[in-house]
Amino acid sequence: MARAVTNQRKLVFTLVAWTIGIAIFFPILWTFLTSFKTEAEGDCIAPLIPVL
Amino acid sequence: MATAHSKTAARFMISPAVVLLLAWMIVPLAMTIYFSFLRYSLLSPGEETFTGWDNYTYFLTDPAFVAAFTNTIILVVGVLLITVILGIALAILLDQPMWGQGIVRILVIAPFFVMPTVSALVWKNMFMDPVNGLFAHAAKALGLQPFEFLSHAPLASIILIVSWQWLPFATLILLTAMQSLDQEQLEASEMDGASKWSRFYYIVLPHLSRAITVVILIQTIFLLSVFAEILVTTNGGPGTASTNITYLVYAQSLLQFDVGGGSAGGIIAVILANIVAIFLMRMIGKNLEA
Repeated sequence: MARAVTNQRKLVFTLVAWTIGIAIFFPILWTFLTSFKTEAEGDCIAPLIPVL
Repeated sequence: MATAHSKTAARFMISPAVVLLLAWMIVPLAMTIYFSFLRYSLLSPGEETFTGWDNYTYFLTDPAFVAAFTNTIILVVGVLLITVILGIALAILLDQPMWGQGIVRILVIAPFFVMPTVSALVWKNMFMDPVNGLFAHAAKALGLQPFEFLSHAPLASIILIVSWQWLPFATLILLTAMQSLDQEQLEASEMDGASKWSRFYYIVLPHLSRAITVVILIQTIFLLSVFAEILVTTNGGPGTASTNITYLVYAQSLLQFDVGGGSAGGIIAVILANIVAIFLMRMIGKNLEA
């Protein structure tokens, strides 16, 4: 029988896994966001989200 | 039951595929071996002459060869260490109960589907660029001088890029192995008072050994031929700081127009890869035996 998991334990795993997952995925996300920016916007750090 | 007659018919019917596959492999190899014994420069086509072992001697005594060989070993071992260690950690983490488990797994696996050239361009221009890169902006925001990754730590930068690409593969293989681990074994050991480290070292790690072997063998084959990342980011430089054997063969053949030397380098690379494969099979291949 599977062991019961507390919500607190599940929350910790969720937070750690999501943080690492987003960190690994970040280069792809950043590339995707930059693809909507102009060349000048792409050269500077802000804005993170492209202005439409 | 197959008769001798039906076996002969079967062999006859698969022979076109076998002949085609053999030709597919042997013709390029035979041509490479043939070219490696010629003085064959693209700058003087039609003037090929037989030179014996000169191309091999030249390639092996070239100072760039020692650097390329060392870089190849560092690249392969570095990427393997990073991907196997982080892969085990990630596989254990992703096997735990959590909210949005499927989405997190997709996020982690996504880099494997990015083409090497694209990945190298993204890391080079958008992250490691000392003027416009994200790391440079972060350093400036913290009041630090931006670090020129590709000039000052070219091989480490390439190891980082390649590791990012191959970490999902290791994680995926190790995660599937983790999922086949009997949870009752872990629970029984926990009830017997085994610490977390003991459970990992005596139950989880031995269970993952076969998957780790598969990861090491498959990754080694591909990592020995890393090329696009080097061509796009550093062009093997500065000097030969990030040149591996594959890039050296390319440089010899197409940058110095010496097809003979490049072919000799290619044959040497094949021999070295086979030596590595034999060592690997002897050292860790026994894990694959049933």
